[in-house]
This record gives sequence, C-alpha cells and structure tokens, in this order.
Amino acid sequence: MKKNLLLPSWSSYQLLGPTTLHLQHEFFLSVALTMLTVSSLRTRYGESFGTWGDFQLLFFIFLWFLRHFLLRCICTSDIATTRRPTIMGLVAYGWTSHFSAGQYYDRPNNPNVIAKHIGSSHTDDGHVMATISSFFSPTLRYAWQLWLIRVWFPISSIHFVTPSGRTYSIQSFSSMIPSPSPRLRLGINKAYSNWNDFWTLHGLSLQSIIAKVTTVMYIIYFLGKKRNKVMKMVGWNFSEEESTEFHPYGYHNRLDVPTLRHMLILLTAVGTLGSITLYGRISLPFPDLVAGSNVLKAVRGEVKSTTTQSSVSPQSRIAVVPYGMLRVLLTDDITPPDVVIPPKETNQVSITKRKY
Amino acid sequence: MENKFRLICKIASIRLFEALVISAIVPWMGSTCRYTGHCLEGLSFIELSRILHPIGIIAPYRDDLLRRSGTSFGLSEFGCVMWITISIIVTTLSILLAQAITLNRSYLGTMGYIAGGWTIVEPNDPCLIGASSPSQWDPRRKYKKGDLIVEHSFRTRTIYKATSNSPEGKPLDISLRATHLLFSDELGHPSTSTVIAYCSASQVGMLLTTILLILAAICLGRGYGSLLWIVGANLIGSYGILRAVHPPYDELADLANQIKA
Repeated sequence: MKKNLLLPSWSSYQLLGPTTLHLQHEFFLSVALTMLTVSSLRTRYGESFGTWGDFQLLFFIFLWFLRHFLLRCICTSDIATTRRPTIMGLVAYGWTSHFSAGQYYDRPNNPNVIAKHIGSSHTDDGHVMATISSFFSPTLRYAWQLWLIRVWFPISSIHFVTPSGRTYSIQSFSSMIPSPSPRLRLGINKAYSNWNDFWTLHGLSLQSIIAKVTTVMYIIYFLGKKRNKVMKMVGWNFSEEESTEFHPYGYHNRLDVPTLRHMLILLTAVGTLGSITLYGRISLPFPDLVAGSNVLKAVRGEVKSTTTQSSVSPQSRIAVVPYGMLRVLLTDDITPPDVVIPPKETNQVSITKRKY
Repeated sequence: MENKFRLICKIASIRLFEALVISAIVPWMGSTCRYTGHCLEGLSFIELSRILHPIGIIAPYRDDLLRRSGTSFGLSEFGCVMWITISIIVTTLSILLAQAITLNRSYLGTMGYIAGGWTIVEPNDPCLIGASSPSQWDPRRKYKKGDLIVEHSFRTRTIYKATSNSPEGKPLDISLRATHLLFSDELGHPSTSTVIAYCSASQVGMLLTTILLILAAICLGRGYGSLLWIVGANLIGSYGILRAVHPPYDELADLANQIKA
C-alpha cells in the first residue's frame, strides 16, 4: 500500500480532508495560469524578461491564483465540533460565513430555522443571528467553547497537593468567589435582552457591510487622480491650491513607478468585484462545497420560480439555501459535560411576539 | 435555490474572465511595465516621444525598444498573444469542468437524466402526423408520455415531446439541455467519464499544436521561448486533469489482499 511519507494519515486527513482531488485541481490550475502569465511577459519583453520586478509580480499573481486552493484548505479543515473545538475550525467558520460564499451559502431568513441550526431552542437567538449575520453570536460562542474545553477545563482539573496531604484544585478556589447577587443577575439579563432588541431593530448584516466597503474602496482607488475633480463636482473641495509654478518648454511630469499596493489592487479587482456582483461576498463560492444537493428540488424550484416570478424576489429565492456543515458544527450538544446550566430566567423580554 | 450546473457555469465564467485579465492583459499594461522595471525612467516609449519629438528625435537609435517580441515567427506578437489567450481559455475551462465532474458526478448525472424528460422533435417527424396542434407549455399542467408542446422563441418554433409521464423541469432551459447533452451518461468511476476524456484530449491537442509551432519557429530561425512556457502550462494542466482519473491500483490491490485473507 502506498504510504504518505510527508504526513501521517490522521494529520493529512485533518489538514486536507477526505479527498485531495479538488485541491490538486486548484493547485495545477494556478501553476498553469502562472506559467501562461510568464509566457505573456516573455512575449512582451523578449530577452529582457527576468528582472526582479517580474519575479515579484509573478509571485503575487501565483499567490492570487492560489487563493482558491488555500480557501479550500481552510474550508475543508473544518472538522471541529463543539465538543472538540480547534482554532482552525474557528478560522474556517469565521472565514466561510463572512468573506466567502463557501460551503455555507447565505443564511436563512427565518429565525426559527437559524435557532434550530445553532442548536438553540430560543427564537430570540435566531433573531439576533439573522440580523447581525451571526458574527458576534456564534463565532464568539464558538470561541468561548474553545476557551472552555481547551484551556479552562484542563487548568481547572489540575490538583495541587500540599506536603500535609491536602489537595487543592483551581475549581475549589473559584468556588470561594461569591456568586453574583440575584439583583445583579437581573441586571445582566435585562442588558442582554436590550442588546437583543437593539440588534434586532437596527442591526446590519456584517457580510453585506464587508462587501459594500470593499466595493467603495475599489471605486475610490480607481478614480485616482480624478478623485479631486469628482469631489469638486459634488461640492467638496479638499484639494490643495493649484500651483503657480512656471513650466519651461520640455517640462514633463515624471510618471511615478506604481507601488506594490497599486499592483495588488489591479490584480485583485476583477475577481473580487465579480464575486461581489454575483454573490455579495468578496470571494467566490466553491460549487462542490455549497450545501443543498437535492437535484429534483432544485429543478422543481426553478419551475416554480418561473410561475411566481413577480411575487418572489431573486434575493429571497437564494437566501433559503440551508447550510450543511454548520449543522454538524453546532447542533452537537453545546454543553460540556461538567457545566450545569442555570434555569432560564422568566423575566426576559420576548421579542418574537413583536410585529415588524 | 439555483441548480448546481448554473452555479458552476457562473463561477467558471468569472474565473475565466479573471484569468484572461491577469494572464493576458495585465502583462501588457503600462503600469506593469513601469512596476517590473522594463520601461526606463518610468516612461513608456509612447510617452517619451511627447518630449523627444519636438527636439528632432522621431525614432529610437536602438531598435530593441520597438522589437519586444520573443517569438516573431511571422505571426509575430499578435499571433503569440492569441495563442496564449486560447491556451488560457482551454486550460481554465477544462480543469474546472474536470473538477466539477470529479466532485459533483452523481448530482450532474442525475440532473442529466432528469433533463431528458423532454426531447426536441424534428418538424418532419412521423409522430406529428395526425396529432392535434401542440399548445404552449403550462407549468401547472401534468403531462403524459408522448404529449407535445410548442415553444416560440427568437422567431423559431420548436416542438418538444414528453418522453416520460410528468416530466420534470422546463422544456426550454439551456442549462438543462446542456446537462442532458453532457452528463446524462456520466456514472461510475471518473476514469469512465466522456467529459474528462474530451477535456484531456483538448489539452493534448493544444500541446501538439504548440509543439508544431515551436518546430516551425526553429525551422524559421526565430525565438520560441514563450511557446515553451505554453507547452509547460498545458502539460501541467493535462496532468492535473488526468490525476483525477487514475484508478487507485495500490489501494485496490490492498483491498483484494484483505478480502483474500
């Protein structure tokens, strides 16, 4: 049997997932495209090809083409569960749900569905996640889980033995700290419900903010020197006063050598803006990792959408795609075995009854 | 929910466009020339002429500024750029198609089968004789096997026939037609795939043509450096495609040994 000499089998599975074929395809595609870029540069500059700038540019082009490979590595390394959380899982979760339309497509709009997916029985949690694009809640919740299971429980289970034979553990120290008074607990609950209300009413989707800010940044950058002109037309005039310097015959402005930042923005513009235009995320989805693979449902859904095209907006049609892996990640029982959940306070303001 | 084939097509088109811009257009841009240090003093020759022309210099003394061609075998730069562009299109599309086939094989195969519920009928087909004039497609109606419908689009009149009871999907849907055409026979191990065979054949075709061009360039005594890079890229692309269809002989032998024991 062929042995993987580079990595032991368990770690290669953890790093690269069950199949590496899609990674191989991406890697070979990026190498081939970089070689074709070399060919283009060679055609353009002939024998003088081979300056330091050429290699620098090629390196960044290769990295940019390789991003699909790297993102696939990140997406498929998401084998963490809430019982066994890992830092890589946190990175994968944060990235796929906010920057790429990766294996998790858009979130469902229905708070009940979201609450079910994150393993909570409270619709309020679903509301919060629908509005703030679930960044603050599940990612932080996941990070908390990571801290609890990977750091706090191991530390708390350490026992110190004194020379006299008595044992102390960190848990016994922490139990000496008095628990918060009922009044304080009430205050915390009220603050939590106010926070819920605030985000439900005024919260913006983080993933839409990221996409919009990126688009605006590209537009401002590409306006370049015309920026001041546009500003003047709009009515803002922040530009410096025009110089009254005398320009002799033959005077010319030396064109600046473009900075690395300029080149990177030039390289990244097409892919990023194309992805934002079609999918509203800054990196493209991976079609094979997109959840929801019922053929008949998709075909029938398209037929249905043609009959009710006027009433259903295209956005809401896309938004009902469920996300698969997240369910694996979070519907696992999120309570670690040693933690006892206090009974839920009944004085929480329920926001499900409110009409929007 | 859109079907996955359409998703694959959209993403492939964006990635193809991006590859064309980065690999074929960016190397020819003025800012790239200045960044890589090929254009002296940060000025391209066209910009220099603005200053040099008034003082009497109308052409450069050395001609290496004008002749920047690595492979000037008659077709010159233009032909080479066209060939690079074709290679980019073929390599990107074939690898992405092979990837889609390898990873979404059962989905695409099932969709190809479902999309066969409607077939196009030729106007002189015998089944049209004596049949009542077909009506327009109604998504709410249930069709039986042998029912005919008509679609008017772009001044053409196409007649579709149901090949099964209650066929799925729209009759006139380009993505469904394409899936049926491409993937209806895709089943089993990737090494039996027709589409992957065509993808790798296109790569090999590109490879052979480029080698012929190199031979021509050698005969004509011209440079062929950039063509060699195209050969390399095509080799890597075809290796990437064929990598998926290797049957894992070692693992199969291992399995056979385990069964025997």
